[in-house]
Order: sequence, then structure tokens, then C-alpha cells
Amino acid sequence: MIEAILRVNHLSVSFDTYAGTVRAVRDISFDLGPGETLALVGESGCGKSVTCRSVMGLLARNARVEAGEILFQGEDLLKKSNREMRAIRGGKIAMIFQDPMTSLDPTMKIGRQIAEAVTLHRKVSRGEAKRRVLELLQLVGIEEGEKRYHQYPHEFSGGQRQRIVIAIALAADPRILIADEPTTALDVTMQAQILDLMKDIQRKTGTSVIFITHDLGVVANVADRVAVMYAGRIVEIGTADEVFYDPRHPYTWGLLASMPTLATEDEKLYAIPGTPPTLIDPQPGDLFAPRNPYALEADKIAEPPLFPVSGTHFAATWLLDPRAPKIDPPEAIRRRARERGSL
Amino acid sequence: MNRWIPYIAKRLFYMALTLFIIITATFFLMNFLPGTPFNNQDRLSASQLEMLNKKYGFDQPLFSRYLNYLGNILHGDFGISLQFSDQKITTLLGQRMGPSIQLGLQAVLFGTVVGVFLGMIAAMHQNRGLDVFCSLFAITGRSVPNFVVAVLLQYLFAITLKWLPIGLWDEGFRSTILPTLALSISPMAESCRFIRTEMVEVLSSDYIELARAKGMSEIRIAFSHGLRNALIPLITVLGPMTVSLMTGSLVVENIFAVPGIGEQFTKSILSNDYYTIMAVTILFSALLVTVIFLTDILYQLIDPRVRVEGQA
Amino acid sequence: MKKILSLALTLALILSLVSFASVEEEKKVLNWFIGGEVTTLDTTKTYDTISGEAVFYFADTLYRLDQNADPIPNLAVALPEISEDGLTVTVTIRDDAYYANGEKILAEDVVYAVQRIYDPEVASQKTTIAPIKNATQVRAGEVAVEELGIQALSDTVIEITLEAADPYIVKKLSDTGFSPVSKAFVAEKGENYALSSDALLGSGPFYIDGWTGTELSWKYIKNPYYWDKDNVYFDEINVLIVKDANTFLNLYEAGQLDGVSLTSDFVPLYEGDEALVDVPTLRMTNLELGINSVEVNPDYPHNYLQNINIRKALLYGIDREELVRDVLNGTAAPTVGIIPNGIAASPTGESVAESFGNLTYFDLEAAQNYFKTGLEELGVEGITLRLVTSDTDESIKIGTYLQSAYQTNLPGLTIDLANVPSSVRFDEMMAYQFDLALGGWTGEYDPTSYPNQFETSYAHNHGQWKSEELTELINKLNFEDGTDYEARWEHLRQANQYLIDNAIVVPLEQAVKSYLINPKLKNYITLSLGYSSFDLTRAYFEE
Repeated sequence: MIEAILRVNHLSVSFDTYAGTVRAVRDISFDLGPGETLALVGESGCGKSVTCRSVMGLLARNARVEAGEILFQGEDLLKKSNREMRAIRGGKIAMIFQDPMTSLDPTMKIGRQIAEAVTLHRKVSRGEAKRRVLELLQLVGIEEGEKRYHQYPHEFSGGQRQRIVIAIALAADPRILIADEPTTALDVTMQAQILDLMKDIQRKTGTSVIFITHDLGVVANVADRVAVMYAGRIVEIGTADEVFYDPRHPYTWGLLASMPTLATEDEKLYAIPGTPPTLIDPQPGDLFAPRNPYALEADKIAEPPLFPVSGTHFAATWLLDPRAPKIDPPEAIRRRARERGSL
Repeated sequence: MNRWIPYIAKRLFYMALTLFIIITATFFLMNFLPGTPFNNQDRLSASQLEMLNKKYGFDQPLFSRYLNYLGNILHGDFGISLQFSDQKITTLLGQRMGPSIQLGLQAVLFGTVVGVFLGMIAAMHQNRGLDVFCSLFAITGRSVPNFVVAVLLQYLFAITLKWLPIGLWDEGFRSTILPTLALSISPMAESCRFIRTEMVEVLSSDYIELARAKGMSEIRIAFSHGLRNALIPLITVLGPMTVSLMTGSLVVENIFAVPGIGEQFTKSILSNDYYTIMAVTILFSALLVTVIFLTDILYQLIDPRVRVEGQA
Repeated sequence: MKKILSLALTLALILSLVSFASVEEEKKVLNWFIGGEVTTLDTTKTYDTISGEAVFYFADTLYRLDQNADPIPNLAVALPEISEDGLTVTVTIRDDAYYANGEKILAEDVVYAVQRIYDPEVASQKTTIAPIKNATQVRAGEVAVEELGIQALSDTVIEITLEAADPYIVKKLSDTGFSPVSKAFVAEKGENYALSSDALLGSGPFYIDGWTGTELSWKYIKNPYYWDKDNVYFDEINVLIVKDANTFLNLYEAGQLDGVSLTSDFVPLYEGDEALVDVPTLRMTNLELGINSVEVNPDYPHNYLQNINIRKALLYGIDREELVRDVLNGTAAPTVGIIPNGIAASPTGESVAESFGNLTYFDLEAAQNYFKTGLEELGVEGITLRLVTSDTDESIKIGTYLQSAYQTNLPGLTIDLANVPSSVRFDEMMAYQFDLALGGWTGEYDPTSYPNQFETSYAHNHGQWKSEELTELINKLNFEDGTDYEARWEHLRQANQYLIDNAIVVPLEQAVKSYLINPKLKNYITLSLGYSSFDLTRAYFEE
């Protein structure tokens, strides 16, 4: 068993708001191996961003870590001081954000912005820092580095800016890269380019990636493993193959069903009915139950734990309990599995 | 650099045009001021008044006086003061301008620097202790008139503690300290308020979040990234604020017996000293127009997004 | 060796400082004030008290006034010779008087100065200082300036010819308008004359230094050539223009000024203080009545003020004691008539108040009766009158007081108060169309100028009151009475009585200036007359 580079154990995070305490992350656990890409999938508000910010130590002032530990290279990040975290942030664990149009300081040359990321974590001379910046620019595919170094963000397109953001993230050669919906704001062509770039970089540098997204199509492209989150919990986790072709949680079924494939005929697109719950004073039982066409009585009483499907595949649904009735996944899911099998 | 030249030339032209319009409008409007420019008017006999008008050319038709005046100012002759019996206005204002400009610049500089600093602290501690303190300070500064502050400062530092001179302008830099402090309250409060508001907004933007993710400390973020972006709206107000301070605060100057130009701005109108009114109007307008121009240039230096286009 | 050397050096330094200090100590310096910005330091052009005071230090006058306002010879060797008919005045000046540059002062310099006053090229705003022959014609440009009634008969004798005999001529000769001005010096300085201290030539006990037109402080330095320099105590007088009353006081308390003028806010704080000095002035504040506005403009909304009972109600319906005490904090005295107390004495030495009596007193009952009668005659229930004042602090205070006092004392009277800039008020008054205006007059030496305000043809007769009787009296005073002091006094009495009987104007108060003066300062003269409040030229510090 290869040693995990990041271990999140039973993390729970709440927010104190005027409306009440929002229990955003409720007992999450997962591992991240070296060089692997883990996708965190789920609707807005499911807790995927909060989880990653907890790792980075970038939570808002009104956030409280109720329980859990985040082990990075053996040390619990939650126990570290702000100063220690600053050394790790951007240095060992880096993050890239969603909107490239607003992620860069409009009044500072991009060369300098990247150089900052270098000098924050490495004691190098200005000349060396600049060389590193040019190296990075080449790495992310921005041509004419010398000239571009002195330009401002508004002189670049959206796709180029995202590359620059990636360059910043990679500046200090981080072990983990957290990408918070990095392609959501881009058009499809750029999306493909950025994803290719990220895969390419990962191959070259061996960085582990946590990829947050709500777009399963993207997941299919990049992820080694997938964790599906709902209402602050991981409801299913496994390898990409397992989750795509043998999903066990009704929520995962819903997500996959709402994703059209080439074989989907002109029908109304499927969408999971209802909306995610607010996480203030969550009701007892499985929070997905109200929207779950396969809900059991048990779902109203207690939240299901993660049941193992295989050594790498787990799902938190009472359907996997030996006492549960046997239910087949919906037709769309089975069809996908069949198509795959026939390839 | 050459893309600047046509821009500057255009701006200079418009500045001159603006000044010309202001001069003309003021000259003709002044004509409607009641009374005479002669201080002793209560006691002058009709014939004396006639004689005085003749000597100073006020019996000439308005338009020819206007043309004369324009011709004169192009030679740098701004006429003579009627209040101050034939003193050349260029001398009068020239000598008095120095202290006012010095005080104005010092007050703006000091007030803005301190105000920006306070505003940044307030924004970084939003809604907590230091923010409340800074904001209260700013509100108080705006509400209390600067002459009240002036008198209090004088009482505390000059009379009770005797650390600084009561007034006059004869002890070099020490004489400028108290009036500068009194005048700096206003720019300090304005800057603090502006910067706080802007910084709060800036600090919640994505690029700041990214900077945090780089591992930068809050303070460094505030100075490196936050400040430059927050400064832009402040620059807009700094211009006119500077001008109004440089053209003298009458009351503060009187309290500290500073030989400044503030009084001229008000007194010349009250005593109908036509040429002084024209001169101070021109001075004020010229300063304002120049400051606005400089502000625009400053924008371009700070915010690359609004730079003059025209590079290859 | 090093130690001894450094010790020696230190000793030497200390000694030099001490000797320097002791040399400094010997200079006698007075720190005085000027009440506001000076408008000009050209002695032939000054028209206000501030500038008048400022020139007084360096411009020697023919005569000086003592504490009783009696003239004593100064630059002149003796009181002037006046001809029988009073029209010729001969003054002999000293033979040993020199300017601050060592040049001799000559009679022709005095003549030149007076010529400048009336020369239309010079355009002085100084109003007539004496009824000199041909003055008006010279000013109007009809006659050459050499024709002015003043001639130098020799290097030391000046002959002045007057249009009419003037009993106050000697006092008038104490004005700085008669101070000598060197024609050569003026020619040398050209258009820069009097614009800076280099362009001014001191003839008096001091000369001016460090003034270029805009300073708030400068010096007067003892004139080493002054004929009376042995009696001039101070080596240097530093003057300061301080405009803020508070700062002013603080400087005095801190010992940086030896005198300060107090505004009404501060006077009560120093009651009984040995440094407090009150100087009555000749500044009269009057409530002027726009009596004949409707004659000037037939569309004028009313003619209330043409009714003598209304006017008398206003005259007797105001408590001047209260005004002076509560509103002005004792910086004024109530009037007794048109003519201020202290300007002159009767032939038997009585003051104006003693001789003419107090004619402007407060009589509420009488005033109310007058008012009622007036309303009946006008056929109205009540009237509204607009009171216009300047927008200075003092004017606003007085105006507000008048409004509330009149409305309380005379039910049925409504006063609309308008505080406007001085020039606006001036314009209104000169248009002769107004109801009530807060105005006033400051005369110089001749009481005639006070009743003269209301003479029919006078340009500043704002109320446009027409009276042959008054014109006759004024003419007698100006042209007939000459030096017949009894006749003058009697005509003044009649004029005063006439104006009060007809309630042509409502005199209110006579300004008193209050000062704090360093008790060590002695032998200074406070003046109610003329253009300067103080004569410090022979003052000294009591050691």
C-alpha cells in the first residue's frame, strides 16, 4: 500500500451565521495518494470547497473545525499555527480558482505575480526567480515568455490567464494541487486545453491533484478516483471506473443519469428533482432521502454509513445493507456499463 | 514615451481653453457685484469717486477693459490691488501663496498617509475593535470643524505644554506643525473612509484569495495587492481636496497668524477688489485644472487598464 | 593637553555667548500690534485707522495731540500763526529735522505731501483733511496742483490758505497727511514708492523695516537722525498683525506682545485688571432711517418713515444702556445725541453731554404713545420695516438685538432683518431706498461733520431729508462762524437739537475700544481723535 500523501480523517466543519450554525462538512474521510487525481464531485453547497479550504487553512472567520484531522506528510495541518500554514500554502499545497478573469491582480505585471509565488517559498535571487518564472510560463504553454513577463492580466485571454494561475500554483513545486472548478468559467475548447495541460504537468511533476467539479464529463477525463459528495458527506467513493460504471448510490445514479451521452436520444434531460437541504439543524436520517426515489424506511431514521463494495469502492446507502431489497440501477446506468463492456 | 506627447498636448490645450472661459466668465460676472472697489466708499464724495474711477480706468466700457486685461495677463501683469493701494498683485499673491501651498501640501501628504494607514487597519480588522476605533476617529474628524481642532491644538501644545509656537510663521518648520495638523484632519478622515471601503471590497476579491493561497501574510497582501487597487478612487478626490487646501484655509491661517493667501479669496470679493478677484480665480482654476490633469496621469501610472492606448 | 584645550574652547564659547547675550539685552524692544491688514503706507493715501496707526511711527507730524487732545508742537516749532480772518495759517518747522537717510526735511516737502493728497494722478482716497483753498478744483482736474492753497515761503515756513476759517485747523495739522514727503525720493522710487519699506522714507522717530507689502509682521527701528531722538526710548518696535482674537490674547499672555485689543467677548474677563485700558472713539453707530424713499422711488411700498411719530417711537423706544451692557459687553457707550461725547468741549469747557444734555434716552411709555399715534395717523394696525446690516459679527449682534427689542417694546412693529455684505448695504443706502439701516459715522476733529451727514445736498444723506433750516446751520458752521467758538457751539447745539426733535436718525452707541496694555509701559497717549489710537513715540518701559 503506497503511503497516502494526504489523509483526511473524520473532518467536520461548521459555520456560525446569523441564521444559525451551518454544518457544512459532516464527518468526511478520504486519502490522496502520490501522483493521483482525486475528483470531488457534487452540487453547489455540498461541502467540496469547504473541505479543500480546510486543507489549505483558508477558512472564513466564522468557520469552526468541529472534529477531525488532516494529515499531510504525517503532520496534522489543523494543529498548525497560521505562520506554519503560510509556509505550506502555496509551497507544498497549492490551489487554483475558478474565475481566471478575477484571479489575478489587475494592477501588477503577471511576471511579478508569479515571481512572488516563487520567492515566498524559496530563497532565490531576483534573477533566479525570473528564470523560474520563464520556465513556468513555458511549462504552462505561454509563448514569448520574455515579453509576456512584463504584461498585465488584461492583456491575456481567459484561457491564458488560467494558465498563469496554474503557473503561480506550480511555482514552488507543490506536492498537492487543489483545483477548485478551474474550467467552469471557460468555454469548451479552452476547457479541453487546460485539462490537457494539467494532465501533462501532472505527468511531468508527479503532483497529486484534488479536482473539484460538478461536471462529470470533466471527471471522466482526468480523475483516477472519484468522491461524490452530498450535503456535507461523501456518499460514494471509488476509482473512476467503479463510480462511472458500477455506481451504487442513488445520488450517483441521478448525477450520471442527468449527464447526456452520445446515445441519449432527444428526450427531456433528466434532473434530480428537489434541491439540496440547508445544513442548519439537519434533520435526522439520510439527508438525500427526500429526493431519493429509492429511499427506504431506514433512510428516515439514520444516516447510512459507508458500505464497502470492493477494496477501493464504498457507498453510503442502506441499499448496500444485506437486509435491503435488491434494486437494479436505472436503465441509463446499465446501458453505459454495457457500452463500456462492448468496447 | 511618444504616445504620451499627443495626449499631453491635447490635454494642455483643453486646460488653456478652460482657463480662458473661466477668466472671461468671471470678468463679466464681476461687473454685477454691488458697490465699488474703493474701501473708503462710505465717505468719498461723488467727485472723488469720479476721479478714482477715472484713474483706474473704470469709466471705460466693459469690453475694452476686458481686452486690456487679457492683453496684460499675457504679459504676466495681473494688475494692481485696489484694496492694498497699488501693490502689484503678482507680488501680493506671490508672497502669500508660499505658506498656503506649503501648508496645503503638508496637510494632504500627512493626512493621506495617516488616513490610508488607518483605513487599511480598519479594513483588515473589519467590524472588530480596531475598525470601530478607526472609523469613529474618521467620523469625528469629519464632523469637527478644523478651526475647533486648531484652537484646541493651540491651547494644548502651544499654551499649556509650550512645545510649539502659538502662531506666526517665524520659527521655520516648527511653525508649520500645528496648522498642518489642524488642516490634515479633513484629508485624513476622507482617506481613511475611502480606503477602508475600497479595501474591504478589494480584500474579498478573488485575486486576494489567490494571494492568500500563495502563502502571503495578510499584511503583505494588503500592501502589495490591496493598496494599489484601493487607492484608485481615493486619487479622484485627492485632487480637488489638495487644491482647496492649498488655496488656504482662512480660519486656520488666521488662528495661527500665517501669512497665507486664504484671506484673499474671501476678502477680495467682499471688498470688490476686481483685479485680485480675477487673480485668485485664475490661480485657483489653474491649480485645479493642473491637479486634475496630474490625477489623470497618476491613474494611468497606477492602473494599467486605463493606460493611453497606442502601442504596437 | 586635549582636555585643557577643549575646556578652554568651551569657556571661550560660553563667554562669547554671554557677551553676545548681554549686548542683546541692551536693545529696548516693544512688541506691539496692528489691528488688521494695512491698505497702504503712503502717508498721502491713508484713509483708515489701521494704516493711519502704521504710518504714525515713521511719519513725523507738524503737531502731536496730548492726552487732552490738545495740539503740541512737534515738527513745527510753535503753534501756527493764524490771520484775523482765519483764512491764512502759517507754520514754521524746525531747522534741524532729518529723514532717516540723513537728508534735511524742508517746508516744500510738506507742501508736496499735501499736493499729492489732492492730485488726481495720485488718486488718494483720503477725504478732505482741511478746507484748503482750491482743493476740490484740483481734485477735479480743473486747476493745476500748484494752485493748491499751500505754499513753502522758505525752507522752514509753510503758508496754508483756507476756503473758510476752521477752528480745528491746528488739530487737523496733527494728521499724517501733513507729514513731509521727499519729492526726490518719490521720483527715485517711481511707481514702487510706498510699496515696500525700502521705498519709504521715515521722517519720524522710527523708520520702517522688513515690510514688502504682505508681511504679517515687521519692525520700526529708531531713526538715528530724528531731531527728538533723545526722548525716544525704544530701539525697535516689532509689530504684528493678528487677526484672530483668541490667538491675539494668547500671545499677550505669553509675553510675546505688550498690548492687545480686546473684542467684546473677552472684555468681561478682564474687568478690574490693571492692564485694561478703555479708549473712547468717535465712531458712532446709528440706525439710519430711509425717510424719503418714496420720494426717490414713487413705487416704494410705503411711506411709514415720513411719519414723525413713528420716527420718534424708534428714537425713544430703544434702551441703549442695555444694548451697550449686554450685547456689546461694555465696548461702547450710549449716545447722547448726534454728536459724540469727547470730540470737543464747549467754550466753557463742558463736554458735549454736559452742554447739550442727553437727548437720546429710553422712554418706553412715550415711545409707545408715539407709536400708537403714528399707527393711527397712518391708518394701519401694524407696520413692517426692513432692517439691513452688514454681515460682520458685531453688526449681526446689534441687528438681532434691535429686532427683538423693537418688536417687544413697540407692539405692532415687525422688523425683517437682513444681514448682507457691506458693499450691498452701501449700495442700498446710496440708492436712498431702504427702511432701516445700521450705519454710522466716524468724524475726525470737527463736530460739524456729524450733523452734516443729513444736510440736503450731502451725497451720503441716505434718508434724503430735505431741510433749509439745517442747510442754513451747516453753512453758517462751515463758512460764517470761522473761529467764533461761541457761535459755532451754539449752531452745533441747534443742529443737534433740530435733528433729534425731528427724529431724523436714531443714534445708538459710541464705540469704546478696550485694550490690555503691559503695565510697565508708560507715557503713551491714547487718542480718540484722528487716525491713530495710540501715540507710542515717546513711550517707555518703567524699569
